[in-house]
Amino acid sequence: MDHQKIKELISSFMDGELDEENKKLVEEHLDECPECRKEFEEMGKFEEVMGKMELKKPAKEAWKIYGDSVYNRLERRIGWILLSIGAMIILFFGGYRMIEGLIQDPSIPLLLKAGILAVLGGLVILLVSLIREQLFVHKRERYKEVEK
Amino acid sequence: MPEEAAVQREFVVHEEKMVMVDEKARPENEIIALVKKGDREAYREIVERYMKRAYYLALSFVRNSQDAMDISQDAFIRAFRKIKKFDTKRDFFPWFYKLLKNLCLDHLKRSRRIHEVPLDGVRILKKEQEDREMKEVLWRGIENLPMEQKEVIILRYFQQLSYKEIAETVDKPIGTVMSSLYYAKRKLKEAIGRFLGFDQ
Repeated sequence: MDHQKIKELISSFMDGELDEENKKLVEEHLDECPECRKEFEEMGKFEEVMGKMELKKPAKEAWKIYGDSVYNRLERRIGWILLSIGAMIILFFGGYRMIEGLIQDPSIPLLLKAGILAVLGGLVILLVSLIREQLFVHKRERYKEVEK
Repeated sequence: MPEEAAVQREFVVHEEKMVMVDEKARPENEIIALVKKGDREAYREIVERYMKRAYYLALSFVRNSQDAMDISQDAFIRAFRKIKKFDTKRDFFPWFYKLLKNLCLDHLKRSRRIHEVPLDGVRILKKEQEDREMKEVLWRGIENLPMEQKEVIILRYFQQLSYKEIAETVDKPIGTVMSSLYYAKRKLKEAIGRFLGFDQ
């Protein structure tokens, strides 16, 4: 058996993931191969170092509030969505009424009416343009199929 | 493996086992079915079942406790939003893991912290000062591994998953997991070889 294959098996051997047949194969090979025995010893030391690595634990309180935090953020998100929808309806309705009032008000000079309507028209065009740009970017996004 | 290291691993494994005991209490697909109907209280059970695993995984990737906490919570929020797409015949965690991993990668890309993050999320218990340099080299080594090798190292050493569990989580054959682990270990072993007195 070639050394490379045995070295791969040593890695799995260390992880306790070898079946009896391969385990025996590795053990028998190690008895007669100093090169692979050296690899085995080094891998043992490496595993020892990795075994000592541990990730920092957060304070116990963090776990107590973790679930609540996710729950609250979910709730807040729903709140934001409702708020945004409501704000859009109010803005649309208010804008419509404002334009209607502006056009029908005889006391406002025609030139001022035209100016205000131009500003509003400009804002709408800019908004539509931004939305279209966002949609275009989304269409060309190379990684949009990657689940996020 | 020295006794101290064995105890540390056992502690983490012990936590994992507690998760498994909970899983028996109520089948996951039953809870997910409720969540799919919009039951946020039921989702809390899923969050509490996997929050530690999610946090430690995120910490392994981003190596900053606060970021790991935020990202793992974001992943749960995203998973809730996408839960209708989830196939209840499959396990929740491998599906969730993909969301979490992508959030971690996005975070790393955005913050460009790969070479700037302090090692506050990691420690070696024994001979802390002496081992600092080796620890840094090791973490840089893990960071620089190709993604398919990095994730198997993280799942193996910081989640204590078996090869079969890793294969299910990353959706790859066991043989691929085995060889990715071997090549990753070889690179890391070489990286810290001088600290351990290996011939280079």
